[in-house]
Amino acid sequence: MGKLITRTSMVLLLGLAAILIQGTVLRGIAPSLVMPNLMVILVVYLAFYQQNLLGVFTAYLLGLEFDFCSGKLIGPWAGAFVATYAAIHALSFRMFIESGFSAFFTAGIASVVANSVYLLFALDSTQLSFGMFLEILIEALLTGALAPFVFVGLKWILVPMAERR
Amino acid sequence: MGRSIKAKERSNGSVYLASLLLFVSAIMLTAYSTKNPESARVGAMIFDAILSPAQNINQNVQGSVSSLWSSYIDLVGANEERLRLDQEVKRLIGENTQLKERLIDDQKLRALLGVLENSKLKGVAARVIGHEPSNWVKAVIVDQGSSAGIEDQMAVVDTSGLVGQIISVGRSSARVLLLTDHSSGVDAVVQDTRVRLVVEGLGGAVLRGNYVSPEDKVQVGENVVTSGMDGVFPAGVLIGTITGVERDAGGLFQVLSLRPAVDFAKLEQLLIIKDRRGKDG
Repeated sequence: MGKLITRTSMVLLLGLAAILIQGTVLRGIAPSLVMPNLMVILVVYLAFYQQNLLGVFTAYLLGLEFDFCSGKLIGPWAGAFVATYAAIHALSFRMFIESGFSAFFTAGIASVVANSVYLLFALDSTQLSFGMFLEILIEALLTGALAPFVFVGLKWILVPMAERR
Repeated sequence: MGRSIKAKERSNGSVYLASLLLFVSAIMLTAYSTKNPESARVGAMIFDAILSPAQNINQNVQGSVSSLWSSYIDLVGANEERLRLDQEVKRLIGENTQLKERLIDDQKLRALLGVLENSKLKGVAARVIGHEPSNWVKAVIVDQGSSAGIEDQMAVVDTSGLVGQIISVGRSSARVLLLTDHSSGVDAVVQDTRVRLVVEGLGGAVLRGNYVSPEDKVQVGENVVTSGMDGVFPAGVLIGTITGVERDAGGLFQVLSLRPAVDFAKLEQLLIIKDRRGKDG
């Protein structure tokens, strides 16, 4: 139990690091372009490797972290990440995430689910546009492309050496 | 074996049930924070307090990296004499680049001060140290907070025009909601004809002007400025230029497309206006 809580705390700290990287390093490179969503990759990782109540609760907390840092609404990302966790959790029984392609595919799907649910929460129907649909697709591709590399890093950080062997 | 499968199914069932409950709680939280926006601001304040030191460090590191990169670019194609003095030249070019950066910063600050002097408004210069990580919220974090007298809903401008407004304030940092955000709205007028409208963000590089009566004549190329009637933005600050005029779907109003005066991709030095209501300028 202690190990699980330590791991959960580490995931939340990684969430803070992801927010910092997205808001400074990535946005510093291209402030006005669509960015990959590192938080979504964390949620996918949880859905595959922490399939229990603590996993879904951690996804919820990651969403709250993301909501708090926006300063606008509390709840949309929390709802989006819980829905994403549940969707990827269901998908996890039909595929393995070990290959680069499946990691790309799963993270891409997760990004589409997360952004779609977020937009349903945060915007009204008059604000939705075709441009947003394109942004969702681009973010899904970027997030998917980054996912295999991030998974390697996450395993290295979150899974103890003995378990990795 | 059968027992293990059943246990797994039960565990999955509890995960989906928990997901549903947490999803419902997220809906309730969203509804609550829509009615009480200050609750979200408190969270943002705490986050900014945690992240702003790291953002400041990152800003400085990025500046140094960009100086080093510029030094490298400058060195490409250097003559033999410069190659012989490689180390010394690198250091000097690095220093020179940093000084140039400071000079540019200084010029921008002077330009911002000029804006203040011309408008007779009180303000504080601030540097952008971070951006909103999500693609759907357009906001930046600046390095001035309550210790510099910054408060919620203060207007933010740069030398080109209106940038946005403060939505949360920490001790040494504040969050600026940009004009391009979906939830931004500014009471405005067309500069020459004084036609009233509300300018809203669309999340991209274009703004929308709403609630223009079909009888009002507006033309492409006219400037739109703040009206000062919303109690947040001082009057007369340039918002953008009209690039298109069309009837909305219901035909009740004209809808304007506007190109913002500010380049939101290149925000660096900003000016936070401390007067809640300014005079024209």
